[in-house]
Amino acid sequence: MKNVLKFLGLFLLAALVITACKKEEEDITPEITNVEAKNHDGGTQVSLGGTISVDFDAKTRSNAKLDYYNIEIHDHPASGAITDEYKIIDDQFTDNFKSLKNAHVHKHIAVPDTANIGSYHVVVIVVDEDGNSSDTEAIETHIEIVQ
Amino acid sequence: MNKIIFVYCVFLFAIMIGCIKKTETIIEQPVVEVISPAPCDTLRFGETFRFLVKVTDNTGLGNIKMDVHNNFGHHLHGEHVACIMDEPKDAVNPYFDEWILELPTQNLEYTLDKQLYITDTSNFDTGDYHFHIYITDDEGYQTFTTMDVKILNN
Repeated sequence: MKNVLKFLGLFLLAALVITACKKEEEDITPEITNVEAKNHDGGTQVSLGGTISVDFDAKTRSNAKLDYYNIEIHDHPASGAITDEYKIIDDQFTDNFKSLKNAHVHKHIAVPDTANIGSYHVVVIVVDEDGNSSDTEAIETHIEIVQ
Repeated sequence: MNKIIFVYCVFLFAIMIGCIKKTETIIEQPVVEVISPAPCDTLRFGETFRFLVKVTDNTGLGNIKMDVHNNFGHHLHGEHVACIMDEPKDAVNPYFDEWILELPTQNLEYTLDKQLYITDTSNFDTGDYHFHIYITDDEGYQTFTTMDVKILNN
């Protein structure tokens, strides 16, 4: 009887080991925080030919290091069609980012003289070296382009 | 009985190890203290300035990447010491430079003391400038800090 109790105790402890650390499905995609888009020289509006500064913090949540980030800045055409969007930028960057575990990004982006006037959505994508990626599509980061 | 206690202990240890949280970025990031220049210092074109910085880390050091760019529009990069700024103005010929300074990877603590030169072409815009300083350790964890200075003609 004593042995049965001992083994029962061990069995319960083993069950505890297995279940105690069972976490929710762990998110291993990169984390993107503090996304900001501003006029580099102050303010929330940028004139044609001016400079937008995009800032954000990124860090890996997997064992991999950061690989690259993509910044896309698109407007909202009256047609609503993605194909009609005007993009100020849609480029990938690795400078001061690749092979880091976490990074602060401060990127200057020139606004072409020919850009459309209006509100633009700023979307950041971060990819780690294992191919895990996150984006800020659902975050309302906007910048206003004026004449 | 001792055997049973030993097995129990092994299990408890396994629980502890298994439940230890993943590495926290904030713990892994290098810690930096910029001693010189100090916030709001005045530097001069055509002169050197002392770059004195103390870096500590829990695994080993990497490098410091630093740039200087104009802040004539009074933009901010997070929280840092506020200085008395000139009136906002448009940049005409703003100064920009960057440095990459290697740190000894085997060290957990290092004080870098270097003289850095600010180019003199005599026609760069004077006024408010920003330093961006990125400090990286040997594992790729990075700390970012920034400070305002003035750069004037000598």
